[in-house]
Amino acid sequence: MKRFLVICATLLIPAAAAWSLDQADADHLLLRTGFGAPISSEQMLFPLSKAAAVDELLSSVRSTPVTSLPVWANRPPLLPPRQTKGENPNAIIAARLHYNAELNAQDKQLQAWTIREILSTDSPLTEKMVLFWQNHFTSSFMKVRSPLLLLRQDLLIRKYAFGNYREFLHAIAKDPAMIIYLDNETNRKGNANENFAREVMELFTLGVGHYTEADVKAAARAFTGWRVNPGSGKFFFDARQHDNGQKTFLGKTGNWNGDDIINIILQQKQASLFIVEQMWRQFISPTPDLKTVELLASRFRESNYDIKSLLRDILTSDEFWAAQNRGNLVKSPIDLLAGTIRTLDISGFNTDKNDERVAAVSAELGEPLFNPLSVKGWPYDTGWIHSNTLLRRDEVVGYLFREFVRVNGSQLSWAARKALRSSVMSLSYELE
Amino acid sequence: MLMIAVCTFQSLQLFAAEAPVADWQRTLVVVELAGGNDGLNMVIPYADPLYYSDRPTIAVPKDQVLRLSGTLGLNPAMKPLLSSWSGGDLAFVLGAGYPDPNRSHFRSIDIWNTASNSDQYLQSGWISRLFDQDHPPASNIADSFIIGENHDGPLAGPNMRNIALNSIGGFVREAHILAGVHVGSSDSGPLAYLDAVATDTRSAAARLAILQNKLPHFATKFPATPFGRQVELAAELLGAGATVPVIKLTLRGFDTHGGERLVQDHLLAELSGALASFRSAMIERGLWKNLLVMTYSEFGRRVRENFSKGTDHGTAAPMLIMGGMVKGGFYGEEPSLSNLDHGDLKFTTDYRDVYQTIASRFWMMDNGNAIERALGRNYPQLDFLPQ
Repeated sequence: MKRFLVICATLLIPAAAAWSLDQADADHLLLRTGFGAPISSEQMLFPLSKAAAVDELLSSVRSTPVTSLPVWANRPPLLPPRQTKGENPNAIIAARLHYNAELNAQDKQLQAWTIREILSTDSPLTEKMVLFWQNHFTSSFMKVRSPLLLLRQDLLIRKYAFGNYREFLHAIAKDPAMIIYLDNETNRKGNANENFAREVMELFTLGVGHYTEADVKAAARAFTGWRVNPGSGKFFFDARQHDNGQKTFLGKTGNWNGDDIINIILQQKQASLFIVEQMWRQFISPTPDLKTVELLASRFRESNYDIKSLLRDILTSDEFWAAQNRGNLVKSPIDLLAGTIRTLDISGFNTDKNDERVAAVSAELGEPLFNPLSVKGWPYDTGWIHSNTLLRRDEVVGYLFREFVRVNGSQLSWAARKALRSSVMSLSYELE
Repeated sequence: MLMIAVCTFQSLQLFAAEAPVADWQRTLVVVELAGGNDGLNMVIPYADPLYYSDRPTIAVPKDQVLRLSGTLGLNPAMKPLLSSWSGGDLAFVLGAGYPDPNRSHFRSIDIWNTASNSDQYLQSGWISRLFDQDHPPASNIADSFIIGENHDGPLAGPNMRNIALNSIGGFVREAHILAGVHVGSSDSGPLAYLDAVATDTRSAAARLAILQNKLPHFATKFPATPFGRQVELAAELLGAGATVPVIKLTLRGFDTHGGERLVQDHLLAELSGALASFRSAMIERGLWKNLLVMTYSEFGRRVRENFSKGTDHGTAAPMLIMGGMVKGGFYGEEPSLSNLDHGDLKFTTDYRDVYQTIASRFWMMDNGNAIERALGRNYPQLDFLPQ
C-alpha cells in the first residue's frame, strides 16, 4: 500500500485517479451519508478519490431546507384555550378538542414535511445529520405538544448540524422545545427539577459514570430560570427564578449559570470521546475502536469542536472504508423506506398523501418522527428488528417494488435492477 | 426414523428426571411500567402525616384513598382491582429496590431487566438466563410474546425465541409473504440475526395460523385503551390455547416530573381497568390458576414533590402481583418516610426476591441449582405464592 503511494507520487499520477471509487465504494459512501444509492449520485462520485468524494459531499451540505415550510411555520404558537368567567363549560371543552385536533394535524404535517425533504433534497447528508442530532438531542411531540416549537428546533439543528459543537450545545440548551421536553420550564430556585441537568450529562455530553448525583443537583440549580415565553415560544431568562448561590460542579466552585455548566462539561476530555463514539456508531459500526476514537476526539478538540472536520475525519478514516464495516448496520425504518424510494426513483411518488403514508409506516416500524419513545432516542442496528417489524419491513419493501413495476410497466431500469440485486436476498436489503 | 429417535430421547429424559420438573403450562405476564412509577401515589401510606406534608399538592386526600389496611391504601384510580383484592389474589411487594440505587432511567431499567447489582453490567435478561438453565419446551409457539412495545428487557438473550406481535391475524398474513424469502448465508453479524428472527417468525406464524381458528369469545369486555388492547391480545392468545411461559406488556408515561396526578392517575386507571378485565376473562376460561401478573418499573420517585406538582427520579416502589395462585396481601415492609437516603426511600425488599420466588414457586424451577446459576445466588423467597 505504502509503496504504491510512493510510485504514484514519483510518476506524478494524480492520486485521485489512482484511487477513484468503484461501485461498491460509492454505494457504501452514499448509503452511509444519505438514503439509497441513486445512479445519478453514484455517477457523480465515480471519477473522484475517496477523499475528494467526501469533500464533494461535505462542500455541498445545506443548512436550510429545500422544500417550503408548513403554512403555520410563521404563525405565533397556538395557545391552549382558557376558561373565562361565566363561560359555558361546554364551550371550553369544544375549544380544547379543537385545539388538540389542530395540534395533531400539524404534527402529521410536520412529519410529512420531513419525509418530503428527505425524498427530494439534493443534500441527503444534511437529513442524515438532522436525524442523528434529533436522536441525540431528543424531544418529542407527546411531551412538547407544539409542532411549531419542534419545527423551530429542526431548523436550529439544520443550522448547527455541521457547525461548531460548542455553539450547538449552548443553543440547544436554550431551545424552547428542549426546555419543555426536559422540564426546565419548572426548574426554579429552591425547587430544582433535575431532568434537564441529568440528561444533558447522561445522554447529550458525558455518559453515565462521568458525573455524580451531586453534580446533577448543582447543574440543575445552574439552569434554574431558563424558560420559555408562552406567547412567543421563545427562550427567556427568568432572573427571579435563578439560583445565584455557589455551586460545585465537576470539582469547580462558583456562581455558575447554565452556560458555565456547558463550558465546564466541554473542558472534560470525556465530552469529545462521547460524541465521537456516537458518530462512530452512526457512520462506521456498532463497536467503536477506542484507540481511533481517542485520536478522532483529540483532533475534534484541536479543531475547537468543528463538527464538519470531525465528520470528514470519520468518513476518510480507514475504519469507515474497511470491508468488515460495510453492510454491517441494520437500516433504520427511514433509511429503509427513503432509501428504497430514492434508489428506485419511483416517478410520481412525491405526493402529500404518500409523504403522510411513509411517515405513518415509519412510525409502525418503530420510528415515529419527532416522537421517540424515550429521551434515549431511537433503537439502533439489530434493535430495529423484531418478528413484527421484520414482517412489516418485508411487506413494505415488496410493496414499493410492485409500485415501481406498476408505474414503469414491466421494464426494469438499471436503477431497479441494481436495487433488486441488493435485495434478491430480501433480508440483505435491510442492511446498509 | 427421526420420530423414533425423538421418542427414545424423550423417554430417556422422562426416566432420568428425578428432580421436580418445571411447570411450563404456566404463564407469567410481565408488565413494565415505563418511566418510573411513583409507588407512593399507587400504594399510599395514608396514615403517615409525612406523606401529606411532603406532598402538599399531589398527595391523594385521605378520604379518597381506597383503604386496604390500617396504614396503606390504593390510589382511587385503581378501583377496578378491588374485586381482586377482596378475592384474595392481589398482592403488593412493598419497598422493592436494590442497594446503591441508580437514578438514570436506562441504567436502572437495565438493572431490573438483568437482575444485576448496581455496579454490575450483565448482557442478558433474568428470564432468559433462567431459561438457559431449564429451557421451556421447543414445541411451544415461542418462549415469549412481546406485545405493545418491542422491548425484550428481561427476555433479551441469544437463545430466546421472542415473538413480538400486535395482532394474530396481521402477523399470520404478513408472515405468509416472508415465507418465500431467500435468506442470505452468514454465520454472524446482523444478517445472521435477521435470519434467526425470520426463522422464528415463520415457525411461530405457522402455529399461530392454527390458533386463529380457535379464538375465544369472552363475555368479559376489555377497555378500549391502548393497554386494554395489549391485554386483550394476551387473553386471546391464552384463551386460544397458546402455551407460552412469558408474555411481556408495556405501559409507558410514568415519568411524572410535572402535573403528576393527572398523568399517573390516568395511567393507573388504564392499568387497573385492563388487568381487572384480564383476570375476569381468564377466570371465565378456567385459566387464571396458571397465570401470574407482575409489574415492575425502573424506580419509584422522590418522596417530596417538586415545584411542578410532580416528582423527580427516586428509588424503591411496590410491585403489583396478581394471579390464581397468589395469596393476596402485603409482603415486605413499607419503607419509612422519615428515615430517607438523600430524600429517597430506602428499599426494604430486594427486587430479586420476587424473581427467585417466581422461578421457584411459579415455574417450579427448583431442580439442581438452576436459579442460583441464573441469578448469581439464591435470594430469599416471599410467600405471595404457596411453597
